[in-house]
Amino acid sequence: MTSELPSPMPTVELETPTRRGDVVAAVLCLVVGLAGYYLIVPAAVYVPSKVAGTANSPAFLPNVLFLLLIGLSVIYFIQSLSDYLRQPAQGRARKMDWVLAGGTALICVGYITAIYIFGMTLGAALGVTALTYYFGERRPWVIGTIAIVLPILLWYFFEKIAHVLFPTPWLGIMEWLESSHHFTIWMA
Amino acid sequence: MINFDVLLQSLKLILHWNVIASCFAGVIWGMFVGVTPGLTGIMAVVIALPLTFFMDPQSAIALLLGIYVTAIYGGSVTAIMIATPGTPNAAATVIDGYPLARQGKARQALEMALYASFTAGILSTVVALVIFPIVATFALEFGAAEVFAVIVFAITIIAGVSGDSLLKGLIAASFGFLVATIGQDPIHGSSRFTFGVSDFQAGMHILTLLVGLFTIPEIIVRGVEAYKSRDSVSVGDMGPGISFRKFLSFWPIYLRSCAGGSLLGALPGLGGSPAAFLGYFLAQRFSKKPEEFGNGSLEGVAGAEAGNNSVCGPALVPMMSLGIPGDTTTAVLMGALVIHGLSPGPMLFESSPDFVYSVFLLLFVALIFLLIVGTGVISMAKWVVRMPTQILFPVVLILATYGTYAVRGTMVDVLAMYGVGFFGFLMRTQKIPAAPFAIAFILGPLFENELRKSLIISSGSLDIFVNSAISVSFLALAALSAGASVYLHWRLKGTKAAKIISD
Repeated sequence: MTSELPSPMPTVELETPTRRGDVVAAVLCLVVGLAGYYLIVPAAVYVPSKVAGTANSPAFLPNVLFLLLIGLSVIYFIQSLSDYLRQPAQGRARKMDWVLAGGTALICVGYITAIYIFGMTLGAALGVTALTYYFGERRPWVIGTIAIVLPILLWYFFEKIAHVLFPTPWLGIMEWLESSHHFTIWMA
Repeated sequence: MINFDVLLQSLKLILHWNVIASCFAGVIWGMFVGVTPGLTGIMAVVIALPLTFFMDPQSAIALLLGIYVTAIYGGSVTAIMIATPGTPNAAATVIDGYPLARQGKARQALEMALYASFTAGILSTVVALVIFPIVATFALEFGAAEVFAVIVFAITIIAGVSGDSLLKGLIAASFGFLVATIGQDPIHGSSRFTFGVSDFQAGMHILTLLVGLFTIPEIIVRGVEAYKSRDSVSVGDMGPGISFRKFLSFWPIYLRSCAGGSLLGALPGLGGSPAAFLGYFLAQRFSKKPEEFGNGSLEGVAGAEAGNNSVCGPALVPMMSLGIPGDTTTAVLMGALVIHGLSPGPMLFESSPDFVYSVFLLLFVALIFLLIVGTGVISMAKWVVRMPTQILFPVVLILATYGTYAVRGTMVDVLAMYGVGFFGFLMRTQKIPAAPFAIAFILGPLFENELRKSLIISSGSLDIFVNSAISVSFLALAALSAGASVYLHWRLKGTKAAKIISD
């Protein structure tokens, strides 16, 4: 005998705005607006005393914008809360979708970290390998080819043609490789 | 009126192999992106933008215009073949294009889409070429208060038509304006929101924000979709093409769609999707066989494609004459002009009329290349719809990272790009639109300058904004568009139409 448990809340796509999400977003916008007006602008904008409080002040537009954000967020909050209280069970995105989205974000963070540790070229090789595998590519020769060809092409274009200096990584592997006579001849 | 002497001079500007080759390369890249579901025209332009740093202004704008024009058409290939619009502009093409493909008339639909796109593109560029000098002359009357009022109007209309509510659009625009204030104050030079990071003294770079906002969220969403079940792509017979006589017989459709699309294109913020639906609606309204619409009507495909491509030329008019971009893609084009030392706005036509005309001439060149490349793509359509997105998106992410780093050679930009991207993804989950954010960011410095200049001139009095007929008109239009947006969202709430508009 099979029995289906009734779902407490229907699932929706990750990109479908939910009423609960709207309430959370409104609160976050309000917090940003209040923090910006009362904390961030006073701390992060230097205002010469002779122009304080005038349209000539560097803090004039940021203050106006944070006030606007506060006003809009209050309306957004009231609107979304009243919608939520009227009919809260509109749906919720699957937890798995959030986990998968988080996975891509995590690979991005890993890729940036790899740039700091191994440099742009090896970081790109690792990043593209992780991401193509995560996106569903399973053929090792395809992943391997992209992981080798793409970073080398980009390295050659940006460093050798466009003369863009890449950041120096903690482990200077590319510098070590470039200093190798054989490698330089091969690339030439 | 058009100055034909200057027009000839501008023709000389574009008749260089590097300019023409850049335009052709743009068309190829635009087509590739257009036929790839998920890669949008704006992403195509943003990814190509770092390459333009190494080009002269003519070649740079040629490359970007080639992409701009072609990505709109390219989206129709997958719309017709596999019912998946390659770009949002091709959403209306699916309605009749896909049923035609199912009936074994895919080649007819693809050819009609291409020829309608080309014809409407040419017609609308002629319209833009004619109206530009008039608008540019009128724009010379604009002072600080008037420019401020136009920006308010543009932002209101963009916020109203993007996403599912005006409120969310305005919140996104507020964030965009706020991010634009990062860096040195334009009058006093004091630091704002830099928190001691010297790389932010010059503010956030336009490319950093645009790549983050449009590329990273798309890649995150694609990562989720990669795990979901995929229907196998089945493509039927292509069938015969359309005759030249049949193509010509649809001329009233091209004219009507072009008129509607040009009008929508010239208004800030509307872009190609509403123009496509307007073209489709007009084609159905005046058709002798309206019952065929939705079941595979060539007229429907012609109306939709003529509509979305007719925004290209007119969308450049407000961008170059007023400094107000017509849509997000023209906002990036505007950023490219600024990067190359050209300031779109009332003075551009005065200072560089040959450059302005050359931009329109390049549109003609791009459209001719579109016709050539598009014809080739049609014969390969069965294969091109099977792009391996599991490889493309990771490659795009790597390109985006390199491109962002290359702009100023600092990892701070890369970190900021990913930060904006994650923020953009969260915005996307609640349908807080990215377009008002991006356009507000681009217009932010101008907005601040004109607002502060106006208030300094008037000693802080707000009367300056209601003392001129032009600024009053634009502020009234802004109020009107905001009211109309609220009313429409309220009337359509919960209906199918609201969902289509929102999507």
